[in-house]
Amino acid sequence: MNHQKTSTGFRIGASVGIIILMLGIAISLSISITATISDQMKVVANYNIPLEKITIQMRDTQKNQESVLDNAVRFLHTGDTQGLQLSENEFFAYDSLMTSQIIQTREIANTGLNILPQEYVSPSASSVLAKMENIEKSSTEYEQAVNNVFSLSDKTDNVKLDAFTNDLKNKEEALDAKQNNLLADMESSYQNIEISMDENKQKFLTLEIMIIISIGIISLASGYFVNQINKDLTREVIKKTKSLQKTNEKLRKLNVLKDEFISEASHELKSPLNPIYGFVELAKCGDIDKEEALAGIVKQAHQIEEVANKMLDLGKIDNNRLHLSIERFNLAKLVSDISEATRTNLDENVSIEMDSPVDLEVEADRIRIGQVIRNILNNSVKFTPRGGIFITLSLNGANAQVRISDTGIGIHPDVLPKMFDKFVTKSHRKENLDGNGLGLYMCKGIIIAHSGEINAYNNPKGGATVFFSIPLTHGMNNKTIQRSLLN
Amino acid sequence: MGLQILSGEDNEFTALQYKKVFEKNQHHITVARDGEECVMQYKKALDNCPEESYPFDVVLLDFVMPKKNGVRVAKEILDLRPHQRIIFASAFGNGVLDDASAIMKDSIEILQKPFSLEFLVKKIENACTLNFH
Repeated sequence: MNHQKTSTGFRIGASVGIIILMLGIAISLSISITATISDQMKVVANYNIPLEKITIQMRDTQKNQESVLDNAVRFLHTGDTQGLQLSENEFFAYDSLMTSQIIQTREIANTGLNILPQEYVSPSASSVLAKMENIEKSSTEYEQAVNNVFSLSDKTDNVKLDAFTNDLKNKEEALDAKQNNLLADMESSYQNIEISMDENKQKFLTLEIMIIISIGIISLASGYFVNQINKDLTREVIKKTKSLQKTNEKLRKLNVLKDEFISEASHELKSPLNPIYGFVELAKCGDIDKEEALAGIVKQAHQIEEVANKMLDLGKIDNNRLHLSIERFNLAKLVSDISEATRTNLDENVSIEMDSPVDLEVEADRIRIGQVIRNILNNSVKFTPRGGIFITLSLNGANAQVRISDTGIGIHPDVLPKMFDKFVTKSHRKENLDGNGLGLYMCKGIIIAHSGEINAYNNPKGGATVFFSIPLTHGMNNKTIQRSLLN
Repeated sequence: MGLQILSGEDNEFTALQYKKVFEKNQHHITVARDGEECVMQYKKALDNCPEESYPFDVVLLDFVMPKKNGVRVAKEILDLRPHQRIIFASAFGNGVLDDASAIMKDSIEILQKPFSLEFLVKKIENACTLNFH
């Protein structure tokens, strides 16, 4: 689940990262393309359009001059001096205009050369300036030819006039050609720049659409991932809730068991008090003698002490602080004594048999090992209404093993895997503390404190077997013996 | 004439004390050491008593007994004689005694241990003088 969350989280992070990157690229490209378009528009507005306009005006001026000259030649042939004079004045007026237009053209070309971005200036300002120089040169030559015509001394000299007129026509054509050439350049460049601007606009539009689509796709993907995370989280919340419910239920059950335990513990502690009061009361009235009363009171006091010790042991086992009083004793004799004592209280349809070597000396806490044996044996008796209980003692390497097997009802399969846990029992509110699922828990605690092992299984032919083993020598189990031998 | 009492009590000293104090007060007490024996004693006494009558004036039961606990014993006795007077003597706290509520009837009382023997005798004598049978 964690891996899944990380993976989805990473996907979302990556998606957001890509979105930001795409937006960054989009904005950069937009700025770049907008700047290009803006530069191109600036060039068109400040260079191409005025240049084209002035070139057309120059050509118009030239046409007007040509028209005036045609009139002047006609006046020369007719000898109309007044008309000739007027034509001359008109021509030079146009000439001044032409000069002014050439200067304006140069200024525009200079703007193109010095101010506008060179990469978009087309035709190049230097070529325009070069062409303007040629135009100006042709214009000067043309002006010279015109002067020749107007300054002709003998206005009737048709030969000279024709020669001057032919020269003038040649100059005129040359100037026309140069002006047309410049104008063609202007138009062609203007068209190119318009095409380039259109291309840039198209690029910009395509880019914008692509980015919008990409962001759309990424947003959808992010939405999907967020949805996945939501689902994951919902699943996790459900899982955790179930787990908490289970834990809660477990705690509730444990709490019930704890309450029952406290109740039964207090019962066990209070029970001996009744006969104690009884002894006191009977002794006071003289119904029994004091010796008898005191003996009874002592016995009951011992019972209270035993219960209290059992509860203290439970606390110590819980905290792994069980103190053992180690002594060397004959385990076979201990088992034999306990089985003998148990046998006296048995129904006649249950038997206890024992198979053991005569001597099996161990170093252990005799009282507590006895407690373990009694507990296991009592359980066997409790769950064996009829049949037999078999106790086997054996030496298993450096361990002594006690095996208590019965032909009883066996251990419930639900209980078997956890029968040495706290509060695990199939019997409920029975005769003593051990019936509340603490007896085997304490047995396990005692055996573990001896570095031993305890376990149980159901016999194939019915009944159950509980066995435990403890090291013969205290503090020396198989592992520690091996370790000490190796060292 | 003394009362006929059946007691189910597994503590040997308490059983002995019951015997002494009730006999001193001219009552007859039969003591059973476990639940099964208690039911058996009741049935045995029932066989020897006329129909519709009660073999014991009161049955004094410990809650916790080997083989059969007090509640089960009480149920079996009540199955035989639904109005049998029963007194439980228990060292349990009140909360734990709630389980007994399933069979609680007017004919049943619970005494919290520990109590004095004199108190027990008076309690039983008073209960029986009400003559509820």
